[in-house]
Amino acid sequence: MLCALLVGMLCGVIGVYIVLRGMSYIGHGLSHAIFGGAVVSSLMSINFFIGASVWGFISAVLINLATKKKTIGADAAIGIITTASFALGIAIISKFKTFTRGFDAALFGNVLGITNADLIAVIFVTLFAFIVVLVFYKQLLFATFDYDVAKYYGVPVIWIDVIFSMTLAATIVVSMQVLGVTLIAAAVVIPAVVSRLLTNNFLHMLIFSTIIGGLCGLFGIYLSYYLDIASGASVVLFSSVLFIIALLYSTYKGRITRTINIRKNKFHL
Amino acid sequence: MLYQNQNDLSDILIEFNNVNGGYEGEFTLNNINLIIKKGEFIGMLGPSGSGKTTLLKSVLGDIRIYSGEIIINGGNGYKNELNIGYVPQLETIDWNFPITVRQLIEMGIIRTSKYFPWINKEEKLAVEAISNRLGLEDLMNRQIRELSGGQQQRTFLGRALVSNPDILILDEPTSGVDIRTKEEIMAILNSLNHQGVTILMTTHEINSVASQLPRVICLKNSIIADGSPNDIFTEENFYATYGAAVKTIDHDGSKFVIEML
Repeated sequence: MLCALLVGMLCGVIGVYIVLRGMSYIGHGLSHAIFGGAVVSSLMSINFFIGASVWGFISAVLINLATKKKTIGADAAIGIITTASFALGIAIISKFKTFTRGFDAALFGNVLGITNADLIAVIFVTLFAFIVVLVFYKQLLFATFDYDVAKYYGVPVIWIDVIFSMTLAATIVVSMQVLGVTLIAAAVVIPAVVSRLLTNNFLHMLIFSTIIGGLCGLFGIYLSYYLDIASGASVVLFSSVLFIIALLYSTYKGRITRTINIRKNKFHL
Repeated sequence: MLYQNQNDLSDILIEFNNVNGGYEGEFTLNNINLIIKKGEFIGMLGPSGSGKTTLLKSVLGDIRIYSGEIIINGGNGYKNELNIGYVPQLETIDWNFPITVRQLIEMGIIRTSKYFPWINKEEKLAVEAISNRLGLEDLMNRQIRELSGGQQQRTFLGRALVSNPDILILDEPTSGVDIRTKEEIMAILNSLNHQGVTILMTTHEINSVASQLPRVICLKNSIIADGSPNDIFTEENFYATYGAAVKTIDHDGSKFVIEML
């Protein structure tokens, strides 16, 4: 439960920056890339967390660099780099058949398969991510809002990108066991999108997304237990329901606001 | 309205000496010699690709200088020695970004307040002061899309001015706005200049903006003309800058340009 709560909060807070940078596909891509890293780590007998994190970090930095080249879109950069890495993982598995971690868990998530080491890794990465977001709040905000101008105001944008890529890669690595490779993207993006529908204030969006992410993790795991379905799937399904509610709410609220404005304008006339 | 410079212009802020520079091996700026004094209000004119934005970015330290030197405040170096308030083209802004007027202005103090979300009492007072000065005090919790064009430009001016910069650099501040907003923006810039703020801006608008400024630079990769509009607004200078024939006329003490299509 604690693991699901923390992973949900972690994905929620990181998702805000992903969504606002227009890189919603990166969670999906990076988890595939890390799958390749996990397989290579297994083959080389390197610790899963270290190998997959380093692999994910390099992929995230490469994606960030490719995205800055304006001739390549973020979607294309993510597509090329991460699919190549995923393909490498598949190629190695088919050749050596040595990948020991459960395939179903890796693809769709299995919270029951969480070990103590996994839980410690989740706690450590969650703490690290929240410290990064808190300490570098202003610099992350500026670089996310206006990357080119941020450097004119003294923001070390390249270092901020490196720190963010590191945090993102670590988030995806520790979330894989709970959410699965194929479902991480939704868990990262949906809480942030739901929060965006509820507020126009960045700080509020960050707080809402963290809370919503945590709730999705928690209730998603409940659902997984009672319905006996994969944990990643239940977390994403629960998040999707919240998204639909938020969408309906923001549409309805928008209509009410417009009606009030029209009435106000009529009154003034 | 003709904006007159009333500041003491004795101190040199930025000096370009035979500067050649650009991006990735291209010479966008050729042999630039230019002196910008504290308290000046300068507009740069020129066709697209003439190096206006590159010249702004050379002050920001964001382009490669192949030869020559840029002297800031009497010493060698670029951005680190100059506190710059930069206002980008509004057309480049993501207006859907969930950020309020207050949060945007607070971004401007990042040079002195780098870490953690909060700001100290002194910085809060600076944010309040600049919002009052720009008439934004009632809009502080609004999201930036909910503002008018003039209010949006004032918000970005607030971010640029909150750290009390040595120079305010604006990339086409009146681009894509209506006449009333244009007047509003120019009046604010003029007022800031009268309060001692040095301003360097680019513009495409010859009659409604550049002709009203105390000093204009015509640029086409090198400086074609530099001086007051009344001195440099000549048919020859515009032909050399734009490669197009224009006619200049005097009206009410100002010089204006008529395009000869």
